[in-house]
Amino acid sequence: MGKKFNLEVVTPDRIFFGDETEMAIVRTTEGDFGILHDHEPLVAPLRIGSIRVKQDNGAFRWAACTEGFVIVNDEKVTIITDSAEWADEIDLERAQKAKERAEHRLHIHKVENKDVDVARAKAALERAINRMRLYENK
Amino acid sequence: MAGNMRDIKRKIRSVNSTMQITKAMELVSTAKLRRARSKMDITKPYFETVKQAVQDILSEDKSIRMSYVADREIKKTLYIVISGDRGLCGGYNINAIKKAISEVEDKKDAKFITIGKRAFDIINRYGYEIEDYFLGISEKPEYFDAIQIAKKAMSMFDSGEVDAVKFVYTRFVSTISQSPELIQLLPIEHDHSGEKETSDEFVNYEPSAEEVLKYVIPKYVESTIYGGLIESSASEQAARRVAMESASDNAADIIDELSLFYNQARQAAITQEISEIVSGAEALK
Repeated sequence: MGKKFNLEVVTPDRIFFGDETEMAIVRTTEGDFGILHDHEPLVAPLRIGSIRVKQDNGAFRWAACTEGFVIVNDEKVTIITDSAEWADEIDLERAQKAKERAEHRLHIHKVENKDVDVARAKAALERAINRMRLYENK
Repeated sequence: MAGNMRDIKRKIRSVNSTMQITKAMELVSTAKLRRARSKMDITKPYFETVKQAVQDILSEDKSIRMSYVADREIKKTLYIVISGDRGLCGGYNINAIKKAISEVEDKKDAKFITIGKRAFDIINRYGYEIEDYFLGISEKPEYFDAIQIAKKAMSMFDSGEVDAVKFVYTRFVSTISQSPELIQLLPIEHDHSGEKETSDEFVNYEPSAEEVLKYVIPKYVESTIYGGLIESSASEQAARRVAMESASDNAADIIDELSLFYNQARQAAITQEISEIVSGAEALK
């Protein structure tokens, strides 16, 4: 057993996770990186992806997350993200609907050249795909 | 005399029905306040963590120079004002609006984004320039609403349309006290009050401090607006509850007073009637 550190994951509507863990892996804009006890102080933005938290039994628990950022300091590790849910909490139906909606928006943008917030639709699509992927791999 | 009595009776009835309304509104806002407060308790950690993070990054690395922190000359200012959609809540709406307007030095240099019908109406009437307005979100603010407001404010700041963004919301002190607050969102001010000795610890920013701030600052603006929206909605309900409570009390007082008048008038009428009968009987003798 390695040493543990305090991890806190906060979203606008709740404190998603607040406990000790041995290891966490997050996806930053520069790529995945793992955090162990006594990591050097760091701040980095996160991409749409996953958070993996090592549980006491050694297995990782996966959670889907959207954009945010991670702060590592001496006391604890804080992950701030717009939304987060454990892989087994994911509402597959909702993600599928969101995916269709986003695809539809991008489609009408391409075909009918209508005014669509492309960046938003693309982000929504990425989020939905991320959720579905995590749901399938859980 | 009888006419007077009828008038008083009608008045009592009308005050009574007003009291029923204010009582009901008091109960409704008590329930809504409870909901708003619990929402506020959930969101506060997020709001505070983001704020702390931004302050930490800025205080640890003084070398960061970007438009969001630089001290540029402030000419035009954007004010974001939160009010309610409805009145009947004491000084809640007007205090927040006054706070914003009292900050404005020159009408030409002020632009407004208003949240809530009240702020829109009043600020519009005073002839200020309203850049954008949001209605119907004051009571149940969602994070998405905050993103919309933040996006608008950030784009105006980025394009140089305004040099500063100030934000007025109502801080929830307690259920009986709320105070309007004005904070400067952009450019971000260094928090000098809690200046701790700069640690020798070197903080690593991936990929760079500027890149991180470019991401963190919009987040900071969003979450501050969201926190302000949530707190204002709790304040609105608390203010309304207090206002309705005192309105109900006043109505009860008026009813008491009117009942006294009514009884006096009734007594006077009876006395008069008796003396009329007596004097009539006397005359027949």
